[in-house]
Amino acid sequence: MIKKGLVSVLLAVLLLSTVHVFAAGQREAVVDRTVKIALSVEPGALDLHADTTTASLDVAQAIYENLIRFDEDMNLVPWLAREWEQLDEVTYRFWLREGIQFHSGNPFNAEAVKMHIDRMIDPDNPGLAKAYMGWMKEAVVLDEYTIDIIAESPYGPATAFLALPFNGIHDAKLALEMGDRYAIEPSGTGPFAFQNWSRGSHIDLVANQDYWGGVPAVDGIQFRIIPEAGTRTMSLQAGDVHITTQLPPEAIPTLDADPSVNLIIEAEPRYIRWQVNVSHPFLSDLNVRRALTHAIDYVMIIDAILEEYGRPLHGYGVPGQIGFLELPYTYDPAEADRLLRESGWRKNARGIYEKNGEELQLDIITGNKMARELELFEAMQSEFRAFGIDIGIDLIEGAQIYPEIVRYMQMLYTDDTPDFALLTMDGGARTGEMNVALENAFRSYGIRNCTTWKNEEFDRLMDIAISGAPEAERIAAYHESQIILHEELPAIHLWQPSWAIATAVGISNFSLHPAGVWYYEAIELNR
Amino acid sequence: MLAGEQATMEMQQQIRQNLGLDQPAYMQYFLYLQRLLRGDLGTSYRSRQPVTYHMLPAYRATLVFIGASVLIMLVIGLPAGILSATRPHSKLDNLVMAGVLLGLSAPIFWVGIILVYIFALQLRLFPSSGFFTWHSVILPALTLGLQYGAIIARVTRTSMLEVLSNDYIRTAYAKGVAHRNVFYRHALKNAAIPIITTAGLQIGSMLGGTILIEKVFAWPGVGRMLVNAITERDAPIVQGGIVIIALSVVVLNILVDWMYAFLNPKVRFK
Repeated sequence: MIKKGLVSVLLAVLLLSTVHVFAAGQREAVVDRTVKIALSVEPGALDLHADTTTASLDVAQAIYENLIRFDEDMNLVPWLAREWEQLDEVTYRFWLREGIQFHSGNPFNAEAVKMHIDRMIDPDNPGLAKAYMGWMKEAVVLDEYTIDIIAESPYGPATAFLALPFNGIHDAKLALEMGDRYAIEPSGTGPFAFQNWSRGSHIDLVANQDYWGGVPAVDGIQFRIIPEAGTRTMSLQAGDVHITTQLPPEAIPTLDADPSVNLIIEAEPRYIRWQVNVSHPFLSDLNVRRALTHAIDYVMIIDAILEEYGRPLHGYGVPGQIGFLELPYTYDPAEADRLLRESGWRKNARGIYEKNGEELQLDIITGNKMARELELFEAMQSEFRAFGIDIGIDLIEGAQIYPEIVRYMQMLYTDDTPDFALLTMDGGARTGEMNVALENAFRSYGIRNCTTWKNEEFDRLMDIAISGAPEAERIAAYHESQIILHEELPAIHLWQPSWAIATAVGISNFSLHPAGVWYYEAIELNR
Repeated sequence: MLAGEQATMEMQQQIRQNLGLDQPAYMQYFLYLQRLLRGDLGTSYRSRQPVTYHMLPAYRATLVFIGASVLIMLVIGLPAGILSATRPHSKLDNLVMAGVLLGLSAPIFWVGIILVYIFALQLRLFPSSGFFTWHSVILPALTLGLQYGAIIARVTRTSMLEVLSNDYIRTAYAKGVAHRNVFYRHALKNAAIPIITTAGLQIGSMLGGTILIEKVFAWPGVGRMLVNAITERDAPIVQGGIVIIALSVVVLNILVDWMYAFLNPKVRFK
């Protein structure tokens, strides 16, 4: 009898754990007119003053809004500020919209903006935003809806930086009250308010019924965390999600043929290049670096392998960015051979260039983050081998690329020498200006300069380019700085990737903004 | 990760000190144990939330998933094994064992994708991914349950055949005990110990070893949480996850040992 009872208890426990799903299902039922978006990476925190990654931006963009932002033509337009003006070289005055509230009910006014800025530039807050706001000195409240933002020194791209998605205005008063919990229960002024975060599974946002720009046409947005690319694709086709990004190349033909799906493939405002370690035993020789740019036909290989997933870049940023200069490489194996011979390299019996008994062998570090990246590098490896340079591919976890860059960059401070040869790096062009593409990666001691390359003239030109000088002068400085890069080659530009997004046919008014962000306030879902 | 891109050397040093990373390894281990005894699993580097904030929903999802999988495993595995054992080497036995072989051999992620294709994409009976309604658990649990059920079927068959060849079974038949009673009351009960051992081990391995299924079905369980944490170098989550899985396996093993004593009077705890 006791035994039977025990068996029953065990079975009951087993059943209960399963039946528990019913309750979960009831609790997490979502409304019909909720747009479901598949994300590949879960945000760590939705407090951009604390999060050090970009994974939170897709969600944060629905919650937070900037004072100003880019329109479709990448012109700056007023947003939470109804108007702004540059008063002198360092002072920017903003007149704020009135009658706006944060989702928490706290008022949006000059004091709230000041609290946001103070919190963002606080040295104790490590968020990514701060990395782009080093130019900012302080914010001064003039009256309830007028505020001055003051730069440390004249900074040309200041307003473009204010429009970056990192700089959405946070409800800093609430953050102060909540402490670390603000990171998982954030509040902004955006079209959608935070509702619930089921860790590892999904984040629910609801339409902000008091949104100053008009109540959104959908009830909410549910961001579902689906790391597996194939599952994201199937979830879209099965109707479980309405929008999915970062599609695997092999899914494109299937989705293209599916009448229930709209496929959008657009050039992403992003550049991929190799950062070259100029302290490397072989690459410290400029002739070797130059030979690398002539030895293979980059344009042909990139076009052939990437097809619609990217196009060759002919400069150190993205076409259309303010200050971008086209500086293509010419395919000239004879010139590459001449350069190597001039430096004492000769082909050995294996057909590889050799000098002092050492073959010209270089490794590419890649996180294989972009569509067909590995295939592309394998094709380049084969072409380099045919020319006489032995290229190895060192594949590392995609998320490890930036820690590697930071590790190499920090070696500058410890007198160690980085041991890599070529490191694949991608970067965004969100500001619409060349400063991010150039400044961090190439300026001496720049926060992403892992190349060990230092050039005083380049630094001087960058000072002009980002100063408050007239635009023509700044653009000229950008151009000259890129010519120096092209001559010195601390990097080799490669390609601009494409962004593949698929949406259910019922989704409208949703597309990738040229600034590389999504805006959600106009999104519609028609069944 | 904690200090951000513009962290100075001083800030990095301060964070190392705050986290106790400037202490020798044995000291760090001692401090960790001390916090663990207070129920403090630490704070995630990435989200800055307590590890339990990540762990509880993941553990809940894993328990639901495993609970459903075990049900399917037993519902499929036990009858299949018993059916095979009733008519060894018959066509039915061969058919069941061929199914078992297929269940064991098919890669689990492949089975998952095929099930999603048929039941979610074509028939639209179940959701393709996630943990939202009770429907959500069926496809992942079926994928896992089919494979583990195949193992249980094989063990059940072998164990049953071994028990059925024992003298006391022959004696029972000689005494005129009905076949049904011999089979289910005497044989099955005695064959249960290896089945329970195997089932216990399977459940233990399910606790942290279902990452492939969790990935295919975007199931927010402990396995996926751990792999993500490893990728993101979020050490407190990894440590906390391992501690919870280890504790669960210990509890499970105690339960299995207790079941031995319950089923076999010769086994007793002293």
